[in-house]
Amino acid sequence: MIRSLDLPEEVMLDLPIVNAFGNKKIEIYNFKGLIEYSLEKIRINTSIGVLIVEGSKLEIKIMTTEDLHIIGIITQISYLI
Amino acid sequence: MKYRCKGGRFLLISIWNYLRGYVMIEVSGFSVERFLNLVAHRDIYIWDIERQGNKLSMKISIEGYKMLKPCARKTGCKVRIKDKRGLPFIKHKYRKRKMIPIGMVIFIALIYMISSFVWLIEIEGNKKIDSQEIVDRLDQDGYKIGGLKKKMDLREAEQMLMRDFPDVLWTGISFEGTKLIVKITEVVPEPKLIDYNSPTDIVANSDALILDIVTRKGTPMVRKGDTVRKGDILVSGEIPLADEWDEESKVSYTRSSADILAKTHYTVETQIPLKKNVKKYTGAIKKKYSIRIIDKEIKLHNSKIDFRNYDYTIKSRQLQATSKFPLPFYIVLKEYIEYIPKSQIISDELAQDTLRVMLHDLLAEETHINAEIIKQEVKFNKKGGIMGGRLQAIVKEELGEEKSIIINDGRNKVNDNEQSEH
Repeated sequence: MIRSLDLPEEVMLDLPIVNAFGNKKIEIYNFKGLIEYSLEKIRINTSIGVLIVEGSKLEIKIMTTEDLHIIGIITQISYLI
Repeated sequence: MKYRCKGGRFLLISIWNYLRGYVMIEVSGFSVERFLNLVAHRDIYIWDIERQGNKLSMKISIEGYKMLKPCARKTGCKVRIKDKRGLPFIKHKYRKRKMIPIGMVIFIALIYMISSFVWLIEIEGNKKIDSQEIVDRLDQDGYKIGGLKKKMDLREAEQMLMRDFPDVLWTGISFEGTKLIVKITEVVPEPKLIDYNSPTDIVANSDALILDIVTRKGTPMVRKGDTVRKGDILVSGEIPLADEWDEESKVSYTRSSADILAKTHYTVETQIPLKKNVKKYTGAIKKKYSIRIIDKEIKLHNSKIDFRNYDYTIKSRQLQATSKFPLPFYIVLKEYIEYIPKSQIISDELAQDTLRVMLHDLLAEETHINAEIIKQEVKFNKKGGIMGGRLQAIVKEELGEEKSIIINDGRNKVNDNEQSEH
C-alpha cells in the first residue's frame, strides 16, 4: 500500500534518517530523544531502536525536535535493536 | 563543495545570532540528556552543545533562556549563565547614555548640512581667460563659495558664461562633492591668413646703408652701397611689363620678396641712481596662525608684531574631508619678516657695469634677432647722484618690412589671368 502511494518510505514508517558527511559530521532526522551524551559516545532513541554514534570530541551542533547534528571525529555508527 | 556552502550558511547564522543576542549557559545535573530532550521538545532552539566533564555548555537564544526554568526544575538540573553575547546586551549596557545616538544624529545632520553647500570652485581648461574673472562673474549671480547647491541652476550658469564670455565655446558645470567644477573650452583663434596674392613693397624700417641685396620677387629700387632713409622703398611690387608691339607700358603687381643686409645705426640711453634703498633682513620671523571659517578669521594667539618694518607672506590651506569634499575651514599662516631699511651708495664702476648690461638688453630689443654688432661705443656721465649711459652701435642686420600696395584707380592693374587674355 505504501509503495502504491509513492510516498517516501521513511516518512510513512517513521524511520530515522542518518546523513553522514565523511567522519566529521552526522545529521540525524526523525529521532525520538537523546539517551546519553558524552564526548565519546552518543545514544539516540529512534522508532526502530537505539542509534549509537561513537568517536571522539563529539559535539551537538544543533538540537531540535526533528534535527540532531553531531560534529566531531566519528569512528562508528551502529543500531541496537 | 556542499561543505563550503554550509560554512557560508553558518557564518550567516552566526551573524543573525549575534544580532538577536544569545546566552552561553552551563547545565549540570543527574540527567542532562533528559533536559536536552525536554528543551528540544518545547521547540527551544539550542546549539553548540559540548560536554565538559559532567557539565554541558551550550548556546541558547534570549527568548529560549526565559523558557528554560521549568525544564531545569523538572529534570533537576542546574543552569548557570557563563556569558551573554550579542547586540541586545550591548544596547542594554549603553541604554542610559542617550547622548550617543543623539550625537550620531547631529553628526550625520551636520555632514549633510555642510555637504549641501559649495566650498570650492575649480575652473579647468581656461588658457586665455583669467580664472578670477570667471569666478567673479559666477559670484555676481550667486554661484559662490558658501552658496547652497540646491539654489544653483547649473544649466543657467553655463548659458550665462557662454553669453558673457565670447571666447568661451562650451562650458560644463557640475558638482563633485562640495566642489563646483567649471570646465571650459575656449574658442580657438582663427589663424591669420596671409594672402600671398596681395601685392607688397619692401620698405626700410630705419636709416641704413645697404650692404647686400638679393631680390627674389619684385623690382629692386636700391643697390649695394646705397644709403636709405626710413620709409624708402627698397623693393617694389610693381613689375613693368615690356610690350614690344604696344607702346603703352603695363604694370603687374606682385608680393615682393628679398633678402637685404644693411648697416644701421642705433643709439640707446638709460640711467640709474647711485643711491639705492636696500632691505636688510634681520632674520627675525614671526609666525601667526589663524583659522578662517568662510569669511571670519579667528586668531589663535594675540601677540603683537613689534617690528618697525616688515614684509609678510600669507599661506592658506583649505581643510578637506576627502579630495571631493573640501570643507569651509582654512588654516592661515602669516609670516612676518623684519627688515631694516638702508640706503646704499653704489660705486661708479658697479653702476657702469650694470648700465652696460642694461644698454645691451635695450639694444637687443630694438635690433633684429640675427643682428651682428660691428662697432659700439658707450659713454657715461654722472650728474647729481644719477649715472647715465649712452650706447651708440653700428649693427649689421636684415632690413625691410612688408607694406601692402594700395593701387590707385588711375593705374591699371594687370593680373596673371588678364595677361593671358591679352
